[in-house]
Amino acid sequence: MTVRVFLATAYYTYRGLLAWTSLPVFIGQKVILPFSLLAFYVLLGTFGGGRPPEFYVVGNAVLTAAVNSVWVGLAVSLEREQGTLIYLLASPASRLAIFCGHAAVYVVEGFVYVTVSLALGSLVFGLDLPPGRWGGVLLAALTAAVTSSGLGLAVGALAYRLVNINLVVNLIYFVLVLLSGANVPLEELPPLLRTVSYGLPLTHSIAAARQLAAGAGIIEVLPLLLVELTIGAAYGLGGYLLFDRLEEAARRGGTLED
Amino acid sequence: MRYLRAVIFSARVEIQHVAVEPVFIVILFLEPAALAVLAVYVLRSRPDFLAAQVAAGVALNALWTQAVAAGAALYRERVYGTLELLSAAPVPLPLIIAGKILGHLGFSLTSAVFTVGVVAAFGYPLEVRDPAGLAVSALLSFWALWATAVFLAPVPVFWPEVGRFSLGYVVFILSGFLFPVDLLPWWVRPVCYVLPSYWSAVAVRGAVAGTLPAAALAQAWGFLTVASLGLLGLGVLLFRAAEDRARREGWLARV
Repeated sequence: MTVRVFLATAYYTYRGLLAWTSLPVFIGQKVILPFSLLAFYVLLGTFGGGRPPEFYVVGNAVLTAAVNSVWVGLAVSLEREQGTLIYLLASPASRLAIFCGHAAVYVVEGFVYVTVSLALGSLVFGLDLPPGRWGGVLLAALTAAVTSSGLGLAVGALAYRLVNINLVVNLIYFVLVLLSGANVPLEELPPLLRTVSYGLPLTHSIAAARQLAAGAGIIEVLPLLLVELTIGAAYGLGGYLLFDRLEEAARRGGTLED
Repeated sequence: MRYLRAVIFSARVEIQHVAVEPVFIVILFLEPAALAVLAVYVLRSRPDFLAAQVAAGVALNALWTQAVAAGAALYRERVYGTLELLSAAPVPLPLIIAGKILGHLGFSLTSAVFTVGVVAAFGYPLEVRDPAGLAVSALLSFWALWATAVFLAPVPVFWPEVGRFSLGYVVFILSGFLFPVDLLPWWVRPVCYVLPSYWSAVAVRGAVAGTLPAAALAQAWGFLTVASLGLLGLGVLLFRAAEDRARREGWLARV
């Protein structure tokens, strides 16, 4: 039953997100937008001259995957906006299976983004990534995408309280851009912000991806990836509890249809 | 007089709308603030770093984003269900939409002020070496952005999916708001040179740094003026064709 709910949710999320769109719109939203974001940050960083372009290409490619997972938080907001949230909550389906079904599509989509970003980064910005290193970098990106969906779960829970969570999602996006180490080296951040950075479900994946791109082995970066998974699990658990609590509060307060 | 009143009233209504809409708050304040912080962190190690130039670049970024958002004024009225009523008003629809765009962009200037404040918070001096040049450049840039938005407004009538394209960052890159377009491949640069946003970056950044020769500044001003007039002329023609088509095809009230 739970697997069926997961698969059905993933299928309908895919249809809602991608299947209806036309080719020009798909290219505009799913290729040009992510790549223009990547190119913008890489060119800005390269002009700054503090680090080589590879630093920004790898960091922002992983960031692309992670940010996509955070957007899953909007799924709950959209259900509420479209008036379908009450029907979902009235169903006996597992909330976790529904959320994971949503998240799976965003994770896979993010994984595609990072692959395309790295390929374009190699072509346009001269990223030197030999074939043997792709697997490791993609693994780090996948880790970031999965752990960030934990943060997405927490954001999704807020949709029970806030009608429009775009502001929150965008705020998180910019926090990730600034503090994850994708664009600003962590050692340049003030100590307080650096502490925040280490608590984000992305920072360690970016560090691992950079090491893997530079030739490190999986075993060498395993501690970083394990820390990342732990942080992601903490966000996921926190998000689930918050989800549960706010859903209960919304039911009691009769605010699901506000 | 009646037309002027309609423009002013449209602008006022749009300001009241933009000031409370969360999505505009994101692009007016959140995005410029984050971009300003990032740009200062990334660019401050350059020997030619000028905080005022960063502030100007980020402010132009924000204004361009707003120009695209403002350009969707016609489409937004349709979504809200008010376009049909507006088109029946005894004032030409393009004037109402132009007024709305004016209000939208006028309010967006708060974003520029906010950006300057964020950059100033880092404690770098915000020195402008050619204040008079900056004033003229800013004015012409505003005029060019307004003309661009007016030109963009009727486009969704012919191409409804245009709103789904997020070209903001493409234009940021091609305009050289924060880094020179010389970083781009040679075959991309001709596209930059026909964008009004590129020339507004040349004029504003050049005036801030005071490094742009008078002839180059005048060239940028000239391009901004001519391009704006051209866009405005095309926009009016496009508006007429769009209004005609929208009425014939019953597009005005369809949501």
